[in-house]
Amino acid sequence: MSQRSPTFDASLHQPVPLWRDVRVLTLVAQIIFAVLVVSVGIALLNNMLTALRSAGITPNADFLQRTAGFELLEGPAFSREDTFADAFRVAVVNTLRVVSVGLVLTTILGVVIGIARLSSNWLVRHIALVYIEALQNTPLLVQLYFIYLGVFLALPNLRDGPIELPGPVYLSNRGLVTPGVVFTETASIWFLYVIVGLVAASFVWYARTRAAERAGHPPTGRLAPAVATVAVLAAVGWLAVGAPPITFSLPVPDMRELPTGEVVVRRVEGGDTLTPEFSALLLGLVIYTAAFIAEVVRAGVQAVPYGQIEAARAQGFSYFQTLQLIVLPQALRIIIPPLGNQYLNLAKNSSLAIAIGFPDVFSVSNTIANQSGQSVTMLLPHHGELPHDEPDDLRRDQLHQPADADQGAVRMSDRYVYVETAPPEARKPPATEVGALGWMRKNLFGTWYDALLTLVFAFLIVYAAVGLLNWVVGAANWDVVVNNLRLFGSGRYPADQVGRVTAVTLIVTALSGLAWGLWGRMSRVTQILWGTGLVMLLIAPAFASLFPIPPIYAAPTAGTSSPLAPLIFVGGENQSLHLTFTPVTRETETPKGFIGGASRTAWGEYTRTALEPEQADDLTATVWIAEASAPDRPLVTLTVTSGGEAESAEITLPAASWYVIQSAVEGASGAAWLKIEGVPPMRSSTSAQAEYEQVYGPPPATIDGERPHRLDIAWLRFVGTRNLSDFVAVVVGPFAAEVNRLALVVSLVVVVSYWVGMAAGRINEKLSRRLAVAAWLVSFPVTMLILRGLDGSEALPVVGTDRWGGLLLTLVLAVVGIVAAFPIGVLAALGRRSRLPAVRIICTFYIEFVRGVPLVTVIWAANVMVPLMEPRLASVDSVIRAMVGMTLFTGAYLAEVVRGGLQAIPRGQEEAARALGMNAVVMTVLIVLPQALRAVIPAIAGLFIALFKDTSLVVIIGLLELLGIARTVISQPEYVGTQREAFVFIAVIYFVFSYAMSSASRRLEASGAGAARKL
Amino acid sequence: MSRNRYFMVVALAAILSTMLFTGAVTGQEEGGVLQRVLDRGTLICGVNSTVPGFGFINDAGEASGFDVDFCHAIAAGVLGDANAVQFVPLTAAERLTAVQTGAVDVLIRNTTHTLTRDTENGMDFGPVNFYDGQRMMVRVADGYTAIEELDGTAVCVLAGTTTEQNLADQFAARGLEYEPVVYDTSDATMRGFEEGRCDALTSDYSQLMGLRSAASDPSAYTVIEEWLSKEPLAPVYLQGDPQWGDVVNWITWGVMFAEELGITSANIGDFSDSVIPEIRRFVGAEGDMGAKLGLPNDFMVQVITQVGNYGEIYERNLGDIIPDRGLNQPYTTGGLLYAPGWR
Repeated sequence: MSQRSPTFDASLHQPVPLWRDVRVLTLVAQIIFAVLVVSVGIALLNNMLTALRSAGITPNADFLQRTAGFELLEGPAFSREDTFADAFRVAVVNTLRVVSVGLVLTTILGVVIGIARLSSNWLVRHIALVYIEALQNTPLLVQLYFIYLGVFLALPNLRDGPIELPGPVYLSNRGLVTPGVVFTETASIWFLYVIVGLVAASFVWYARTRAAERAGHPPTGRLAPAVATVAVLAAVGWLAVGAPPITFSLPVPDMRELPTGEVVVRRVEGGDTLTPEFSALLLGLVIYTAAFIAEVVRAGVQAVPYGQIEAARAQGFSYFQTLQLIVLPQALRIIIPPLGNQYLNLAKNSSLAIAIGFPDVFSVSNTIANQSGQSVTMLLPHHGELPHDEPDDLRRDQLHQPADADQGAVRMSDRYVYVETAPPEARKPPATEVGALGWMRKNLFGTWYDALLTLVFAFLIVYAAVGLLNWVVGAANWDVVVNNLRLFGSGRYPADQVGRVTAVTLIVTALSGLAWGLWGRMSRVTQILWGTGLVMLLIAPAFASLFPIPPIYAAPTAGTSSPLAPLIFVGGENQSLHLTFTPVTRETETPKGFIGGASRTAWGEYTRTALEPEQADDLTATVWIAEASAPDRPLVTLTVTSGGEAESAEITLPAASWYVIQSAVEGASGAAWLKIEGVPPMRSSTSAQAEYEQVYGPPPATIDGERPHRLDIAWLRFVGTRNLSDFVAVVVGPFAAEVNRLALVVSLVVVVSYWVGMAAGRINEKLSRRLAVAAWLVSFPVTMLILRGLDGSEALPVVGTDRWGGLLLTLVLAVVGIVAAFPIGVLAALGRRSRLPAVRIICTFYIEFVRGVPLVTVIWAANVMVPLMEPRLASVDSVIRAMVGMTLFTGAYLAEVVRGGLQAIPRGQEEAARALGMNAVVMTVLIVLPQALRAVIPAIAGLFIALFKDTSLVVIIGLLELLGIARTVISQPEYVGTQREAFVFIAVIYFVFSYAMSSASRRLEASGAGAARKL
Repeated sequence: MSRNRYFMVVALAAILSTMLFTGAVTGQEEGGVLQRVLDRGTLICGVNSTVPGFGFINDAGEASGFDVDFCHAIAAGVLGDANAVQFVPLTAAERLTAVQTGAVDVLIRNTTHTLTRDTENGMDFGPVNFYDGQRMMVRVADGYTAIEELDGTAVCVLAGTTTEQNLADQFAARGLEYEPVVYDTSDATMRGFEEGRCDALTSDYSQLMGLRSAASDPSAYTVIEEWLSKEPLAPVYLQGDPQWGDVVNWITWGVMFAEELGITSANIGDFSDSVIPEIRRFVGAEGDMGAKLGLPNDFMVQVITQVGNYGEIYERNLGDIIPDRGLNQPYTTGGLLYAPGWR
């Protein structure tokens, strides 16, 4: 920045004073910067240590030598007498086991799917596509829960009899027990033979390769001789060492007799056990990472010029030979760098083990922290846990440039790399092969193995679809979703303020519609799908009311303090009810329909006691139904006794009003069922309850001094298997009734703003686009203000972030994460490219440090350490702390993305700017950054989608975002055991959002926004 | 020259601000927790969100349960409004950190009072609000009746709890083996148990009963008679703030004392002109009990009117789940609830 005179006159030359010497100045500036950063760091650390000391915690490593006092599920031998340090060592081994096995498996699966994605078989190709989209667009944590609970714990119970396979192998929800390998003393000598065998085999391999090359044909036929060499030496060794070096320990089921006389498997002893926790974590990591690796592989394969493949075919290479010898070796060059990143992600993601009870490093550290009180110290190991990756975005950019220009654009972010391509089927078939049959012959039954694949996959698809449909319609308890929609949407946001969330939704929808109209086009298919969906949603409640309502059961039971609290419900004028009152005996059929809350227990208790032969029932039960305003004037009274006949009655309700069912019992034991037909269960949402009050007046608070139950869905539970008509009446109707108002408004807003956007675009495209961008920028503070409110305001009272939850919190975390990370990311990227070493080193350190640490740890650290660092931050809500953690994390990733953009700018731009006399700041702000940022828009979009899914990790610190809310609602007493329903529902939500965003960003990219087109 | 001065100024400012910032952040905060709560106007209470009966989120989105009501009671006593509470749902593993860091003013989340926690971890315990103990839940169909029979079984347990250590201790003491299946939330442990991942679920009796009541068929599960441990559950707050500790302690004792005296939310109005000095002091008609704690003199009236006495809190939340109050009733009827003198 020093200015020199155009001509240099030696006589005028004087030594430059220190304070004007550029070298000195930059040095001083760097020292100040470094001192500033380091001293702030030291101050924060000091604060933290002071706070810890005052709280009586001394962070040192001594506690690691204390006795652990707990046991671990798996890993090397460990017991409660061992130390915390031993526990930690076991955890490291466990993590390494999962990661090392996972890397191998995920590579294999990823390559297979990547290649399947390019298969000539239409079905295989599309299954691979669906696999990739479904897995990439839902959070790993949700997948893990699903795999663990839905797959591994759903295996047969041990006591119901494990699945027995030859071996013997036992498979149950306690894990897979296989014969175990036990090494004897002679094993080490035998291993020497094997090692010699391996060395010999590599010589054989080498020799065969050389021979094939000399003969001029492809080096095949090397594997068999090599394997044979190893086998022979191993066999010789086995005989030579005398005693067998390896013995097997066979699993033996340990039987046990139940009180009923039945003999069941208690546990399987011996053998090696693969626990469900390990398997679920491994499977989850493998199939998730494979979806990303598949895209990396596909990009690599497609980058191989097509001529290479044609040439190989022309040489008479088979499909597999082409793949093995021509395509993969060339593709590997391109595949390897991004593959490394995926491996790193797998290692980092293994920290999610805590959610399913696998003792990995993060989970055990957590336990140790809690058992020892050393929460802060236990965070430190994570920072050294993983190797730091050294990505080079620019280099990867070039590598990924497809050889074929029309193969499309490359899109990537740090966790995503894939190449958009024109689908291979775009190559026109010969005219003789058109038509449905021709298409099928070409795409499904091209060769014999194509046909085989098609048949196998078609069978699998049908099988899976039937199973899924049966579950969705017949077995799943969707009440947990229908009745908690508000919680899923906005969490604990106060019910009377939910309008504000709706307002924000509409603002964002309107802006999205506008953007859609301005930048994109709504395709015909989208219009039709949307329209049909909306119409179906709107007519669904009316349609559902055409189907018969399943009956409701309530049970007065003897021997309980309150046989059955009064039940209230709303009834219309002339509505007719059918009542059946049955004394329950051992022969009474299990009811199918709704069963009332507490009586569920009573029914279970009853059927159990009814099995005792000596039990003598002496119940006399009476139920009566009356208008709630006159509970002592029954419309009908039914009385039954144990062992007696059932009674039934048909009544017509006299007026639209609240009605009450009451009961009285005499006797010491026994139960009776009241079956009520003709009354729909009341909907329990706040809006539905308000509707009832409007029509029928306020419900009675007490009936004869008792608080009545409402006959609503939350209180009832559907038992038995639903058929389709029950499904429509019980699930679809209420669900549609809950969501259709919002869906209608949202759709209207989208359509209107879309047309406005189109019209504005036609009038003045440039201006309206600028206005739309400005509106987006303004919308961020505005929506935050609406959501949080103003201090002391009447209209917008403050709703603290601790009340935010559900999808709202998920979106807010992701948006805030990316917006707040933007300045940090840009500064860190510029800093990393700075010529000043101190600045560069500090920025590089920040970026690499954060990138080397799993997000879970960053969130944990933000949650635990931030309040210790600065006492005034202690009262800061954990939502804000999570935001800080996510911002710091995203900042580092964003910095790398932006750096990629910066490196992509031709040097000429900078040189030209300097030639025009711009200083560094002006040049950066006006010339470099605008171009760099435009180039990385698609990558930023990818980062945002990744962040959207990663918000699910804040569940670890107890926040109630979408996943947290799902875990909370399933612990409501009514809905325990509905985890699958809740997780499927949120997985669908994650998928819809994530998929919509990624297709929008693909469109953005295709529109050229990401291209540095003005160069 | 100007550039030089510019740099000097920048350097000075940087160094100065560093010092200021460092100084500012190390400076301790004025006033105690009570003052902080009063200034803020809300109490921040750490609770459970996954134990039916003690702390869970109901479908209206509100925290609900026995422990949650004690938060309401403290808010009513301190701020005069039982609803001025901000609930922070915490997992078992993070709850102690939340107290240490001051993220919550008080933690009422089935936390056992132990010597180690009291001395080492920088926090203090209030009066026991629930006498609990660790037991084992098993399937009725399995027919287990004693802990000795559980040798070699899989046991589901919550991570990072005293329960986890007790289990290890008790099984080791009896020379039994087991496979620990450790989850991070109590609903996860119950799910693991219900799905058959483990043969037994161990936790505090209260939690077991809460989880059992929420099971799809509660009668399929039973609790083995033996106790593995005593678990006195108590509120927790940061060490080193005696005033705040007193507030939490005396409000907790207050609800117990009200039950001893027979004062309920329904009849407290009748006691305002009582002639019994003890009751007059309790309702604030005499003496300055509230002022001694830094609270309004009628603070217990607010607590009892808005939340109720111990018995009411118990019946409302646990009446259906653990009908037998056992040790958790006033000493007058054979329990362990015994409030110190209100004078």
